[in-house]
Amino acid sequence: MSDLSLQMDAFSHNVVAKVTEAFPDDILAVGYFRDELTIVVGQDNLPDVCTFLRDEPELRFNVLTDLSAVDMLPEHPRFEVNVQLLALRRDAQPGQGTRRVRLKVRLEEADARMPTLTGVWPSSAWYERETRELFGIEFDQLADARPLLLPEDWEGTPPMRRDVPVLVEEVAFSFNRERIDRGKSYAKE
Amino acid sequence: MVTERSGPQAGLSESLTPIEDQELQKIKHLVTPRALTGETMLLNMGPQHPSTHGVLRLLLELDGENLVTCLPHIGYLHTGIEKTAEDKTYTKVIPLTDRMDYLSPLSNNLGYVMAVEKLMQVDVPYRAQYLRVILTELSRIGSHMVWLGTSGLELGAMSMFLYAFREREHILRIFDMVAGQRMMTSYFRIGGLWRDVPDGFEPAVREFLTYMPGRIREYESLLKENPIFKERTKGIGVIEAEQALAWSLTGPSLRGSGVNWDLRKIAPYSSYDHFEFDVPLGANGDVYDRYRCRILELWESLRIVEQALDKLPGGPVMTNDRKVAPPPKEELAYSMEAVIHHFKLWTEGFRAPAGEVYHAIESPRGEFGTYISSDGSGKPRRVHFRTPTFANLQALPIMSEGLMVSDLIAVIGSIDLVLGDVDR
Repeated sequence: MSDLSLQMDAFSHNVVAKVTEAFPDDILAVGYFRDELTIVVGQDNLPDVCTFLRDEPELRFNVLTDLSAVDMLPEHPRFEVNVQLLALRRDAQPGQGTRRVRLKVRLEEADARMPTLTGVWPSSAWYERETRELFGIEFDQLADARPLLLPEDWEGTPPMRRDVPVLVEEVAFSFNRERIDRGKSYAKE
Repeated sequence: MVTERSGPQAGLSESLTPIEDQELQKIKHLVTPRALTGETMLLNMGPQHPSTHGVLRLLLELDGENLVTCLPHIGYLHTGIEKTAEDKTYTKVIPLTDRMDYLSPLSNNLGYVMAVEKLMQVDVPYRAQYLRVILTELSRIGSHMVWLGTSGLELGAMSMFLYAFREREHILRIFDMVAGQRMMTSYFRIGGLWRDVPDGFEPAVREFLTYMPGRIREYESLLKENPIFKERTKGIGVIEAEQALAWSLTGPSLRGSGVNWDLRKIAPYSSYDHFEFDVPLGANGDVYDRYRCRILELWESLRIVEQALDKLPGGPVMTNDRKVAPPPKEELAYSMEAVIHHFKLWTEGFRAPAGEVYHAIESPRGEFGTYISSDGSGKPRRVHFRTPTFANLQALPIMSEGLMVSDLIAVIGSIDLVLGDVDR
């Protein structure tokens, strides 16, 4: 921790100090790599931590730029959900750089669920729907949990998980097309 | 077809097949109760609709011609690029990035290679940085041309489409000259460029620079003061700045609401701080302001290209870090190290240090971010692309609240959709 705080720029330093002071039990770890700040947050109070980051006058992370998951297989816990936040200042000066933080939530495979962030940033909705269908991570209280990118009749393991191979279907050529077609769920009889 | 409706659901249930009934059940919490009784009409716009820029499907709830609910359905162009990237070496991911936002492939190339360069801590020679700026700005102009043409076409200005595609042709020829490909360029490499630009490059760009300003003026005279165009765009599809931020809008769609945020200016990458340019801003956040922002951006892009061409330094276009960049061909004849590096790079690629990076650039549509998680091997553990139109499209229902169907066409045009960028 002390090594890290030496590398960090003043703003990241301030972010870590503020958020650890407000939520001492929820901040599990802090990382700093290639000038990017990562804060590992427990999932229980995540919406509160996010609301704090959004509303605290000195931080004001008002934009959620991205939310996505990583399958860490074979490591434990298996899933990491990364939330990229941006403090967008409308009076920002040219060349001053962006202020970003990455919140990371670690989830076990058996309990791959976390609270939704749509109450804090509405734009989180589509990112959560995407993560839900591609990784099988559930978001509690997500109002609209229909599939987003996948077909509505998609079945089976969520495709972005690492135990799903990249090529799961035999490639159809003219000589094997009929045989492959017969095995499809849409085949008649 | 629904012909007449007497009681609740009367005409509707006859016309619906069981599958459509199921469909209605899935979305019944997202539409008003009036849709369930058949009082309002549910209508699919797309996926095969000329104004949806590809394969966007909008499920509209309509009260007469007024929009009640708008539910975007995406995913028709989902290609699993992120999944495919996990099975490729870092260099081999570059051609995949072309195929996301296929109207500005060089911006995608740049966003991705810069993320890997950040992870690998590679320095890029200035000549390569300048050429990257020239080419991404040209691709910004090319992309804005397609936007201008198609959104003009949808609003009844058909000649715009023909003019804009004629201008884009010049840019595509320049790309063909440098990369051997008109659209799927894959010209940038980790650490620099694939090769230096050919001799004819500078004259071709200069010719374009002299030719283009007159053309932009022509477009402005065609649309800016056109009463029909103004009528259909002013005060339509308004999104306030605070709301735009809450919905993560970026690029011209955000700047149209008056938020001064351009990553090229705020956090300059690839030597953007060496050039002078302004960031055009709107004020009202309507379709017209977004249109003005993009048109003014064309001028700024031309300014940047001209400055970069004037100041273009000599020297190599590839880093001499042999861990990521292949050695020059002639070195293979006498240097054992070169042979080893060549062999390593062509068999297993380079190994990236374990860790994660996120790098964002300003693409023609907004913030294009690349997230890479590396486990220390030669292939990324996870690549995720934060594409601008994915977030911008999500705000479409907010922008189109209370409008009519014909206004919706204008709003879709104003967020400059590329479905390849949305679905990845």
